[in-house]
This record gives sequence, structure tokens and C-alpha cells, in this order.
Amino acid sequence: MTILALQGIHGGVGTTSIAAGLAWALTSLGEKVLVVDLCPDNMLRLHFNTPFENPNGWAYANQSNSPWQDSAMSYLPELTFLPFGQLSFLQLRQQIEEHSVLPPFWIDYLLHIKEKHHYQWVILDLPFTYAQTTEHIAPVIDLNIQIMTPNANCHIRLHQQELIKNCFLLVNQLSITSSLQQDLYLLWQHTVDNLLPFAIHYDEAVSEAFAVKCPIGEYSPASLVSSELITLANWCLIQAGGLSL
Amino acid sequence: MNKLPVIVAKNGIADDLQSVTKMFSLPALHYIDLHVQTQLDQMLVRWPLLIELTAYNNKRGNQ
Repeated sequence: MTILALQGIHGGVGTTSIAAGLAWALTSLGEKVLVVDLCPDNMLRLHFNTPFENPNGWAYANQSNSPWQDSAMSYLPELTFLPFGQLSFLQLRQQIEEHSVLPPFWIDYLLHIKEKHHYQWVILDLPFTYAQTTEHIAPVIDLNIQIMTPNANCHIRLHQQELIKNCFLLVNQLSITSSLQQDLYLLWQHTVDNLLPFAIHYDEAVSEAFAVKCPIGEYSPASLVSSELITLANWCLIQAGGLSL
Repeated sequence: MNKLPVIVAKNGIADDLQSVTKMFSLPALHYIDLHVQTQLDQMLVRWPLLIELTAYNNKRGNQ
């Protein structure tokens, strides 16, 4: 089993859409996938047609001392997702005060999932936080990908923010009509270590898929981003083969 | 106008050429992709932020 962590270099770079779309792409290549929402925003569930008012999720279960595993939902026989769950502001503040943004008990949760040998992939949709705040779960992560969009904000962060150790970088929402984005992408291709050799382009179908509440690969299998996510999924499979997991 | 900072490309960008050099036992070539170098220089002129951060990178690399 490979544990893949996805995290934006800052918020709003499309990490959750990629998590949902990559889970779908890996499933379409015959893999069994669990995708976990670790973001208090609790958005991932809405990529998998969950009713908005359904509060269930691992953090919600923890509040009521219920088993967190019971919050996992099956979207396809091979694709399971675990929402964060809907917490009130006070509940969220209490969790962060007690356990930090990413509770350390997730190490035990991941080891528990690994022992079951039920999935080939666990995809973690991590919230944006500075690298130091997720360091404690690093020992159980097999593959790290940080997502960035080609704009000045990300370019500055590449110079002033500590990146996660041993992570690959993936460009998302690349526009072919923006000269600034084309310039930044060319510069990054020539200067940024561990940049993946392909990018995910801007595609309106991604926004539409979210509004339809399903992963992009299901909503528009012929779209550019769907094929790029299949490329990403194949790249992940090759990496996992190299890790001999 | 001030002289533009040099963009230092990461290792391995000319991998294809290095493979050919190795395969045919050619002497080491000093290869510069002039087209890309021109594009990189032009973008520095267009975007002052890139000049500033490239110069910052170079300064850090020299320390």
C-alpha cells in the first residue's frame, strides 16, 4: 500500500479537486483507493455526491467518541472516501488546541489501515499549513506531492517558505493563454528541483465537475484534465513500483 | 538598465545531450540552449519580481 500526501503550497490551488480526480484515475487503472479529507473545510465529500447536510466524517466521529472508520463511504466498490466531517467553530478550535492542525493519532490510523491490506492507495488531502506542522506524520508517508499554480504568489513562496522534505511539485491550473503563466512554467522547468515533467492545465470542466458533485474523470472522461490525471496516476504507479510497496 | 541576473538551470536539463555524449564517447560539450536562454532573459525583463528573486537565489547560492 502506498500512502500519498497531497498538499497545496498555499490554499486554493486545487488540491482537493486533484485528490478526488486522482482517486478516480487510479481506480480506473484497476487500483483500490481510499481518499481521506484532512482539511477542516470538509470539501472532499462534495466531490463524491455526499448530501451537503450530512455531517459525518472522522473528526465529527471523534467529537462523539464514535469509531472513525464508520465514517468512510464507498463511492465505487474500488473507491472509498473518508470525509473530515462538519464541526462547529468551537469544536474545530478545541480540536486544533488539543491536537494541532493534523492530529498525531493519524499516524496510528494510517498504520491501522496499512495492516488491513485493503487498499493499494491511501490519498491524503492535507490542508495548507507550513511544512513544520505536518512533519510528525512524515515517517508514514511514502510519496509527497505539493501542488502549486503558476502565479507570483507561488513563485514567492518557493523562495521564502520551507517546502516539505522529499516532495515532488506539481503545477495545476496552467493556462495556455497567459504569458505570465507560460513564463513562470518555463522558468520552473529549468530551475525547480523535483518538478513533475507534466502539468495539469486550467480546464473549466474541473469547476463544472465540482458543481455536479463528482470527480472530473466521471463528469468528463474526454477532458484534457482527465487525461492529465491518468498520466499523474500512471506516474504514481511507477513511483510506487520503485518504492516496492 | 542594470545587468540581468543569470538564471542558473538545475542539473540534468540537457540530459538528452549528455546521453548522446556518453553513448558515442564524445568529449564533454559545453551546451547552452540559446533559444531557452533568450526566453528566460526576456521574461526577466518583463517581470521585475523574477529579476529580484533570481538575484536573491544567486546571492544565496554563493553564500
